[in-house]
Amino acid sequence: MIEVKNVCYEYSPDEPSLGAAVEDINLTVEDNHFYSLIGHTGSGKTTLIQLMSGLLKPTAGEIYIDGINICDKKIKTRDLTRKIGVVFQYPEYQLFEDTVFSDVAFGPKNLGCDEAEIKNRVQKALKTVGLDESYYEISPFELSGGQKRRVAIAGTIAMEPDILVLDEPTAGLDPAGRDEILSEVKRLKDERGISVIMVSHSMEDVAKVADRVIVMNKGHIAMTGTLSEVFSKSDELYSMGLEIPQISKVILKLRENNVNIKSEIYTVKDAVTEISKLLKG
Amino acid sequence: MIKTEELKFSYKSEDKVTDVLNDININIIEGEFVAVLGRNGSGKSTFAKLMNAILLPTGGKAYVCGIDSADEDKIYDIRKNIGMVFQNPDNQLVATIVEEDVAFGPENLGVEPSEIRKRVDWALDVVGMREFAEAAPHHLSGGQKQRIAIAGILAMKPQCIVLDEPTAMLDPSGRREIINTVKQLNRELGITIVLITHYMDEAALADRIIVMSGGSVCLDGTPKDVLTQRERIKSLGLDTPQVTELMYNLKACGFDVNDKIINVEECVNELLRLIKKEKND
Repeated sequence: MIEVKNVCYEYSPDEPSLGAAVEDINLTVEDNHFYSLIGHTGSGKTTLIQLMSGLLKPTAGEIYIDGINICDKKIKTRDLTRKIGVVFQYPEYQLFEDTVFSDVAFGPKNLGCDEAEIKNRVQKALKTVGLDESYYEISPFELSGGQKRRVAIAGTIAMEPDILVLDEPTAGLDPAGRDEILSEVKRLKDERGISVIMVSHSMEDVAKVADRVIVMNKGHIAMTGTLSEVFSKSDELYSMGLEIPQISKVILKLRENNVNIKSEIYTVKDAVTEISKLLKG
Repeated sequence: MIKTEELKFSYKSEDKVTDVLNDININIIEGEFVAVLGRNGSGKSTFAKLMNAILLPTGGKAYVCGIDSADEDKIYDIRKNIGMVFQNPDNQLVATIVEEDVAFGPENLGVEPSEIRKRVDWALDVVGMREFAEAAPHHLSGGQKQRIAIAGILAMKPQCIVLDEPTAMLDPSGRREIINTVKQLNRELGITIVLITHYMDEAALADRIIVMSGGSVCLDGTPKDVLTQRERIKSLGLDTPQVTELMYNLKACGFDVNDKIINVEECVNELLRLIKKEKND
């Protein structure tokens, strides 16, 4: 569990005129949930991720992971990386080893795992992202964009963190590649009971996988709640530069035309079920 | 505007030749708005680069504004007329002030200073960014930066603009800004648009969709023809808009629906018709 208490991050505390990237952040990330973090560009999403993973220190406030204050200077980075793992935007640019296997092995090696444990973790992580043994000895640079991205995600998964954070994991991927990565992450979350925090600009993707949504606006947390608690406020989302899924727009328009259909519909699957009911009378 | 004949492109390294494009025969006419879809690695971006002679064909021909792109003496005539906008706005802006950035293109073309002034003001007006003329690009949002990149291209008065995933890194409101700008350039100024995208709802706005797969063109038609071929589209690793998916599924459930639907408005009207019919029966 992550608890963020009254956190503020100023670019330069000596020069208040530069302002704060995030302010008054109070947030609890519970175990075993799939969170989506949404907000306009520059709303502070990436800063918040960097704070929660200990890469930035807050200029005010505290952050606890499983009750441990991560801002405490005595906390070792290595201990923190076991708890929270981050996959940044376009992580394929961070691949550097000469084979897929050794790239994914880099993390567990640095955690001090022994050979057998490293092998075990790398195999599991690559399996999770859908890459079989035939990829192990290939250079990551020979792979397609989508495959490289999966290798990079496997590198973080192999650290086996309790909380996995992904910053726009599907940006620039084609629809099939996007759906594969989303379902792999969802399965990982369900099988291991970890928490996932996924930054996304695609409301359709958010509706597909998330059960909780955190909305940021201009450096503040604007809303948190379940998928339907957040997506039911379409006007507010729109005013913050966000959207609702296309299918939800259809439902909204039907309701405006006095069609008696429930509003909490955010996926095509639910829409098919509800509209079928309606048509069968 | 852009015509290719048996166009081929392959990369050569020491020991092997990789074919990227095979026998592309395409004719994009003046004033068209064409969306190009395809999986990562299907050759979309290579095709885009052949359109303004960043790359030259290794076989066949590309004629751009009637000029053979392999004619080195005329390369500037091609570049002047075919502008390109790429995915990452931060990689495309060169100056520290917005209007200087927009002036960069025409300056390099040797346009008269008084004419440059006129073009810069006009281009910023078109993209709705005049009030930011003296701002620093790094203070702008992603959508705003991308509009400045488009203004910089417009100031060169091109006949055609090729955009390679211009919205991949943008938030929903940034995407709306860019898509509205692109539509306006096409409808009001008659500029030919080639839009490469992974977003099916963006492609649905075009006059024509070209789908690429494995370096060849495999579908070419109106958005309605292409996007409603659901099985084919899925097998190509692509997706249909959510509204199309909804209608496809309702039809599969045995309802008598029109499944040739690609936007929210059509979808709502068709559903209202069905619901009304159901009530009367």
